Parts: sequence; C-alpha cells; structure tokens
Amino acid sequence: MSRLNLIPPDLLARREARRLLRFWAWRVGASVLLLGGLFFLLNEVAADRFAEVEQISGRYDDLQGRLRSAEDLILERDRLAERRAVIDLIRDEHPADAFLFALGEALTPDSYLTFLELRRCAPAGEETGDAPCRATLRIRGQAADHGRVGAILRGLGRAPRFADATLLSVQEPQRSGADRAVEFEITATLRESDE
Amino acid sequence: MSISAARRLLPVGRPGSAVAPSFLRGGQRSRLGIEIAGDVLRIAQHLRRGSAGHWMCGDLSLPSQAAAPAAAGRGARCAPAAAGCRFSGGRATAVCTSPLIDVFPLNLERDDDAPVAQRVVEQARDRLDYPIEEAVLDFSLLPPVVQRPGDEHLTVLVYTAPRQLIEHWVATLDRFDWYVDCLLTPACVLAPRIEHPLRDARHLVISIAGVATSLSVVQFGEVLLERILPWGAQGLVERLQVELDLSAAQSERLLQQSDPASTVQEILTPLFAELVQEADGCLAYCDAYFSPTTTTSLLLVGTLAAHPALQRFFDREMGLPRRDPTQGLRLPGDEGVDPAFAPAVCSALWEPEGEA
Repeated sequence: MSRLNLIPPDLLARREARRLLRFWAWRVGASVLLLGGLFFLLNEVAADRFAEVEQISGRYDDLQGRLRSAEDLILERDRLAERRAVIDLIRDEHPADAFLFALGEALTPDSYLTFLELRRCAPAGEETGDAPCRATLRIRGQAADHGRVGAILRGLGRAPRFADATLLSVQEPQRSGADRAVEFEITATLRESDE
Repeated sequence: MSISAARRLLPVGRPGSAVAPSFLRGGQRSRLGIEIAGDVLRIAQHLRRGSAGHWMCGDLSLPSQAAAPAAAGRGARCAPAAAGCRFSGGRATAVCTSPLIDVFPLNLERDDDAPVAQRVVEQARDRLDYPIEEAVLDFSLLPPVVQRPGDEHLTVLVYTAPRQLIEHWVATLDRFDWYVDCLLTPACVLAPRIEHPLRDARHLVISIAGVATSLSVVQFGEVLLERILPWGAQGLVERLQVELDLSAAQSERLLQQSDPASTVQEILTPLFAELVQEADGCLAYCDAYFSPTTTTSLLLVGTLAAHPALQRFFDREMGLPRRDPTQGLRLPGDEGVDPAFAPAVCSALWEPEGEA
C-alpha cells in the first residue's frame, strides 16, 4: 500500500506546532484562571477577616475610650475633692476647728479640760437603723468652783453649734488645801447642719 | 462564514460484524473519513458499541465562498456546525477531487544514479504550468508486477496540486476541529479496498464528485492511472440549468429522478459520452503500458453512482461488468454502504504512514 500524502511535511509540522501552542495556551490560560479564582476567593476570605478585626478593633477602642473617661472622672473627682478641701481651708470652715473654737468660747478662764471626745455619725446610707445617730461631745475637766462649772454649762448651752448640754457629774476634790478645784463631766450634742 | 449542515445518518453495520482492528483508534471510533466534493463535505466514521459496529455518514454543505481557496483562513469557527453533524473533532483523512489536482505517470530510467524524488521533481517542473515552488507533489512507485515483461523503466505516478488548494482545505477543516493529517485523491483510498475473486483483475473506478470526476485504473491494490475531469455532478446540474432554463434546485431534482425524461437524457448524454471516452482512454493507456490482463470491472462511486440512467449508459457503452461498492469493496461489516459515501468510508479506513 502506497503512503501518499498531498499535505507537505512542513505544513503538518506547522499545524502540529500551532496545535501544541493552542494546547499549552489553553492550559496556561486555564491555570491562570484557576489561580485567579483561588486568589479572588482568598481575598474574599481575607477581606471578611479584615472586617472582623476592624470591628473588634473598633470595639476595643470604644472600651478604651470608656475606661479612659472613667479614669478621668475619678481623677476629676479627686481633683475636685482636693480643691474643695483647699477652699474649705481657705474659708476656715473646717468642722473640727469650728467645734473647738466654739468649745473654747464656752470655757471660763480658770477652767481646764482633761478629756475630750468627739463622736461622729457614720455617713448617710451606712446607718444600722436602730436609732437616729447624733454626734456628741463629751468633756471632762477642772474648774475653780461650782459656779464656774455652771458658767461652762451655760456657755455650751448658748453656743449655736451645741445642743442639749448636760452635766454628767461634779466632784469635790479629795484632798484639802489651797487647790480646791472641782472636777466635772459634760456632754452635748452637735448640730448636724453645722458640721 | 455560515455553515448549513445537512445530516444524514446511515447505520449500515450489523451486530457482530467483523471490524478490522487496525482502524479502531481509542477503542470505539475510527478516524474521520472526509470527501471534499466541491462545496459539500461527505463524512464517514465507524462507531463500535460493544460487539456492534455502525457506519455513521453525513454530509455538510459549505457556502461556495468557503469552498474557494481564496477564502482560506477567513470565517468563524465551524466546530458548532460539525457538532451539529455529530462528528466530534479528531484525526481525519481527506480525499479531494479537484480539477486543480494533476495526476500523471512518469517513466524513469532504472539505471540512473540520481534519487527518484529528484528526477520526479525535475520532470514535474517541466509539466506544471505554474511554479513548482507553489505546488505540493508526491508520487507512488508502481510495483514491477504491473509492468509489461521486458520493460526496464521505473513507472511512477505523480500527484501534484497547488499548495494554496491544500492549505485552504487543511485550514477549513481545522476550523471544524478535524485534524486532517493525510489528503489524497479518491482512487488512493479506494484502491486498497477493492477486492475481486481474481487477484490480477483490473478495475476501472469512477468517482463522481461535485466539481470534478476521478477516473482511475486499479490493479493489485495500486492505482495505475488516475485522471480527474473538470466537471462533476454540479456540471450536470449546470448543464440542465442552461439547457432547460431551470433553477438549480429544479435541475437537481430532475437529475435525481430514477428514470429521467428523454430530453434530460439527451442533454446529459454528451457528458456521459465524454466520461466513457476518457475511461476508454485510461483503459487503453493501461493496456498499452502495463501488463496485459483479460478481466476488468467497473466500480462506480460518488454522487451519481446510484443514478439508473448513468448506470444504464455505462452498461451499454462500456460493456464492463459493473460491481456494486458493497460487493466490490472490502469493508468491515456485511452490509453495504451508500455508493455516494464510499470514498469517505474508505478514507476512514486509511492508515497513514506510521500508523499501519
């Protein structure tokens, strides 16, 4: 059997080369498309993750902001308290000083205090609930005579910062001699509005 | 380029029929066999499903501009049209019957030292009426058994065609995703398939295509001579159109009549006579230059092979025993093929060099 062929070998070779070129071009094209698709999908997934991180980051910043504002509030409160203390000091309205000053006004010149107790009530909301708390002052001391003790008691009764001044005890001295001062003990309640 | 596809499926096999294993590629499909018959492609492929084999045949009409060599490389892809014909892409063998293909014998001195190919090219250069650089050329060396006793020449049958024609058809069929790796004339693919009880019988093979007709003489499975006439079925239609002032469709219908009117026969007779004259010339040439033989048969294939008027004319004028392609061709399966598809079917069975 003869093996004739009217297609010249160079034409066959050219076609084969074209066929191979097309084949590889398709393969490369398909690979590029596949990789492109994968890249796109990864990009989509990464974009979702980025959005999630952005969201969490925003919430973190929000919380940070709130925490900072809370700290700022605390600092502001402390600063205001310091300023109030300074202002109180400047206005001479310190409560203890005011009580001591009033107590000094009530005492007579020749009398001495040997004991002083100031009982303050707990702040509002911390009361036990049995009876209304009243701030009290208790003093013990010595006076030249009973008349002076009476003058101290009246002085306390007149002072606007004290109320209900009560003489608890008066004792004569045990020993005899020139020093015949009497010992006394007085209580009074403090006026709340003046504290 | 628009392609109009006309599908015609001809299951012509029989379950269990023997199939030559050599042409089965990929297990189930043979290569495509394509006959280029002008602006019509005839396609054949053997399909095997289980133990049953079938021939699938179809034709595809191309617009005339697609069939012209100048249109090579132009147009859209033709794969959708091919898919419409149920023929998938793949390797193919094509046969082309074109008046541009020239087949001629050469007698070369046997004791010349120059290579045969070189001597063939030198002689073909003188014969061609266009530069040989624009031609494709191949040749077959005829076996000594066909030569006359005492003839010391080498007899070569040379096939030439314009390169542009071959490139055009290769490019056109490429657009169908049909990878044609072998392009021949119809006689080349029919010759190995012709069988006869007598081994040395000589056969006259007439293949009528669209724009040309191939006449060939075959012996021992080899083409001794092939001549291509510049008219085919289309020429007959045009002759009827001119003579009867009809449209092409009307002329085609008239030509397909099994018993045409006497007027039609009178119009066609000169062409048939020319065909017979050429056939006689071919046989006379072979009788003169090749070994004498007493038995000769006629095998008629192609578009008009089944035309009763043509058959009658040949029977009357030539007096050769006419053989049907079903009996005259060695094909897988026991059932016959449509004579119109015989060249395409034999192309599908062609084994190119390296695959034999």
